[in-house]
Amino acid sequence: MRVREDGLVVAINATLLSWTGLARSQVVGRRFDVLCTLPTRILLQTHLLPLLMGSGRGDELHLTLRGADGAPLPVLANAERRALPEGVVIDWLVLPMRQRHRFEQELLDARRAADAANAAKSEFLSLMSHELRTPLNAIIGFTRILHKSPTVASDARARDFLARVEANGRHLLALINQLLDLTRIEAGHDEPELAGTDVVALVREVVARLEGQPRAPGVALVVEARDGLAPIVTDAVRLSQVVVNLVGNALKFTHAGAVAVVVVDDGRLPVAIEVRDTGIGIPADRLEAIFSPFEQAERGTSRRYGGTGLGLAIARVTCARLGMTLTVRSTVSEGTTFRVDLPTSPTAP
Amino acid sequence: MPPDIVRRNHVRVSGRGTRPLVFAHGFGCDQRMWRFVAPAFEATHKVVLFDYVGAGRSDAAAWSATRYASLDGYAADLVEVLDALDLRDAIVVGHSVSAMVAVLAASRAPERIAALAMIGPSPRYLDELPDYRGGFAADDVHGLLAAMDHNYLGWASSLAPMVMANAERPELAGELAESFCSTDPVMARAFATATFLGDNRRHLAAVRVPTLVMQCTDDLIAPDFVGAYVHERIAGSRLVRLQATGHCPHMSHPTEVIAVLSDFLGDAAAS
Repeated sequence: MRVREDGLVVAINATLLSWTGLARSQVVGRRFDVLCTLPTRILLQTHLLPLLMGSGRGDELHLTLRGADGAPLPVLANAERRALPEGVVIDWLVLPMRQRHRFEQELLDARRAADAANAAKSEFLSLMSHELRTPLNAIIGFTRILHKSPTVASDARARDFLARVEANGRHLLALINQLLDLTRIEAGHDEPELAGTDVVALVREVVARLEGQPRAPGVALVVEARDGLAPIVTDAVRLSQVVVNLVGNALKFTHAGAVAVVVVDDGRLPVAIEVRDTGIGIPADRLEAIFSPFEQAERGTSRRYGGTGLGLAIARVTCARLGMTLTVRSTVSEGTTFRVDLPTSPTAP
Repeated sequence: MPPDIVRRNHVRVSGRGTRPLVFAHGFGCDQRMWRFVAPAFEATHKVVLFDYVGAGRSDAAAWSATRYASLDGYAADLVEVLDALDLRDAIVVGHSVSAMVAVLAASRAPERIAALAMIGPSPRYLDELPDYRGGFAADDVHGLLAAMDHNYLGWASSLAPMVMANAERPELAGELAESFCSTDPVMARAFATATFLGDNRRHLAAVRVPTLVMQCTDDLIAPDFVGAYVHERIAGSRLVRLQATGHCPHMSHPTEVIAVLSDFLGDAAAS
């Protein structure tokens, strides 16, 4: 189909004409919009024609014609503007795409359904977490009170049982809190609070806090960082949580050697935080899985080492929210390095 | 000037004149719609271009579903741009729905807006038969909104960035490597709703500033009846029927638009 710059149809071929069910005389000499449904007319007027006038061509444009049977006919069109001796024209090449349109529609519907199901899942998790926390806090609270009762104080067996009840209650509470964190972050309900942050000071503070955490005898915990680096803009509390998680893990899985927290810099700015350990390592085929909720490198790890299996999942989504990337490299029995690449711009997260 | 508004609305100021001339784009593309017209006024005016939040290179993070659910939100954008640049007695050139946005802005900030130039304005796109013929039946508009909801690909991928060679206007190649019509479907739908379902007819009588109404030939979006209606309801307005056809004469027939606008600006300056 050839259309003048002012939108009047100059020529149209028999095939396209047959799709529309119109006579040639009803189309030639009239605005080509008459072929289209109203939404397409608006799309044409407000978006596509300005684009064509500015750019000279449009590829794979989705339009809807009024079909001969009265039903909308989705088509794919390429348009090209040409300067001819008799004036500027736009040549349109039009292909029907009913079938493809239906596939696209099904895909979109499926995606919408999946998104909705995922949102419902997060909503359910967050609701359940709240519901679970309340009775659990009562269990932990009353266990503590029982500890102080004279009958329990004099009974070693009862004390031991109560301690187990409390420890398990706390573990469950930590799990639920982390689940809540994860769903909140995934739902985007946590606005980062951005401020200038001294990364080296932050790392030193985290390490000082973890000095007292139980670890294998002889395992050293060291910080390698250069002083005097410029601050970066980020959410210090969230970044601390990530570093606490990584260092805590490293201490847990290292039986000999050292855990080093390294602030990598470019001479002026910190560019990454690395947590290097000489621990048990992670098999190559498990390296990505550890970032999925409830995964640890090996089944049974949880029983041996404790932990909820949510820490790294939270660390990764937190990093993503802060414009950082969390990656890992590891060699089994030699050690593991987690690396947080910090945002490159000093002013933006 | 406050950098946040300038950044938020991607405000661009040029020109050697002092009288502010502000170009407001309509539903669809962005400030680059004005690129064949705006430069013609740089010798005589302070030319201001901006994108509404949700369009063009505006800061999408500043978009909110409630603020931009009605034209008031877009009018607030315009007033905030005028405030940010501390412009007084500006002439606002509004395309399509932006003509009504400018009307709302003029009643909010009368000290900032001294004249209105409207291209294809419409205060009400829906028909209110028998007295008012906006050009669209309610079913049409709901069909449009449903199409935007269900036909995400039809809207979004048609507007995907295209790198194109333009033999006629090679100077545009770089600028247009990035599509100036690319649109977030959610934001575009909100703008379409505010545009096509709004009724701003009652605001026309309140316009007290010199007003130019440019009406295109064969405009399917803002038909002739509507241009005449706007002209009748704004006391002292001037109606000019353009030779230009379609809905975007500033893209398709810039020379005519420049001539009509220059004429109006000359008179506005004299008054």
